[in-house]
Amino acid sequence: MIDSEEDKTKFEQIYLKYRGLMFYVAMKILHNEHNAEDAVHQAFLSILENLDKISNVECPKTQSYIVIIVERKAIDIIRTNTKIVNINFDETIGGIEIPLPGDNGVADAMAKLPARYREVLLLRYDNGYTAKELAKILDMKKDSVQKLLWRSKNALQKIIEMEDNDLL
Amino acid sequence: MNGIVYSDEVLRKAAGLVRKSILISMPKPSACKYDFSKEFQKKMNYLMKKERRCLKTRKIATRVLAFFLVVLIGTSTWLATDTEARTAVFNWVREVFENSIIYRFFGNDIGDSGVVSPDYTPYWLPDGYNEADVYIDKTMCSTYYQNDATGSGIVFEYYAAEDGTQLELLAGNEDYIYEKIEIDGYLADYYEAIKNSNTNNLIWVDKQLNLVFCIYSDLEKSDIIRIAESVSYGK
Repeated sequence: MIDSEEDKTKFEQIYLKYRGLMFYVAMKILHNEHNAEDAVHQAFLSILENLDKISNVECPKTQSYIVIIVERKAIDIIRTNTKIVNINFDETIGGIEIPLPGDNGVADAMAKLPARYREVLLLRYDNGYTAKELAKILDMKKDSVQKLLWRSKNALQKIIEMEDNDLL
Repeated sequence: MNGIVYSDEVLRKAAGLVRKSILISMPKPSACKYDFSKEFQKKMNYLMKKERRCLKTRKIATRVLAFFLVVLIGTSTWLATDTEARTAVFNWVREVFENSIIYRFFGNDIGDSGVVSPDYTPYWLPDGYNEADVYIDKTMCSTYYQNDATGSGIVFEYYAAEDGTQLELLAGNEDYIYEKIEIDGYLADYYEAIKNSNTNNLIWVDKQLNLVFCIYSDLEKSDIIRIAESVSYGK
């Protein structure tokens, strides 16, 4: 939660700067204005809870973090609204479309991952959050985060192996 | 997969490239214009207003090194579609997470009567404690008592427990020992801090008054209970 006047200003800056972009991201996934607004609101609640994780409102990592959070909230809304129980839900939702970075390697494979896996890898390795911090951000238990990280790396490796095989 | 093939450094570099790709594919934030609905703006305004209030409460609370801090995290629409819950009598649920405990209140649509009277006060405090700071708004009242000789403090506060209210108690589940006790016939939750540097917390709900009461302090349990039992109306 907000701890100081400086943090409050930070939250308001984030709100004013990124709300439109957040709505854009949510609409890409949900295609419904009402649900997209709901996702943006949920994302702001999460951002507020983890405001101390944001050191600079303007930096690209902050923008990426915000995009990831709203993507996650939009996917959560799909999950909630989906009547059919799908135990592999996390592995089937792609999330936002990402152009391949073009390294023909790990980065390209990471961009192809399902949203859940890509998100946790980005938050861990680009934003640098620890498993404990990720547990709070993603509202999961720490050991579940560690399992998710392991599964994400596993999925990354599978993509790379498949592509290597295709080249042979 | 035969073990983790890629080093953290490789993954960091790859993640950085993916982040750049994501951002390149997005329009600039300043280019994303959208007129949010009034409902959305209302919720965000409410959120910011509540946070401003929490900010003040925190200023009070930090004086007692309160790691146990109850904060109002908003009245939300979490039960908006749950007709069964909405029609239930006034009740609440307590949910325990790794780093917090959340109390959610429902079935108590008290409307305008949700305005909190600022007149509840503990009539017993240990020697040496005097009122040092008060914060009041429509939904809560927080008072900080300080012992000038020792520098220690007590925070006493209460909130309107209306439908949709959520209170978050910020504490890791390894930071306290939880115990159920009774305060004036109502069940109360007592959280004994394990570390000396932290504070103990007592929270209870008075169903007749529609209020949630909280006390946090580094005092002994018996003193905190005595303070709680002395709370009455009228300053």
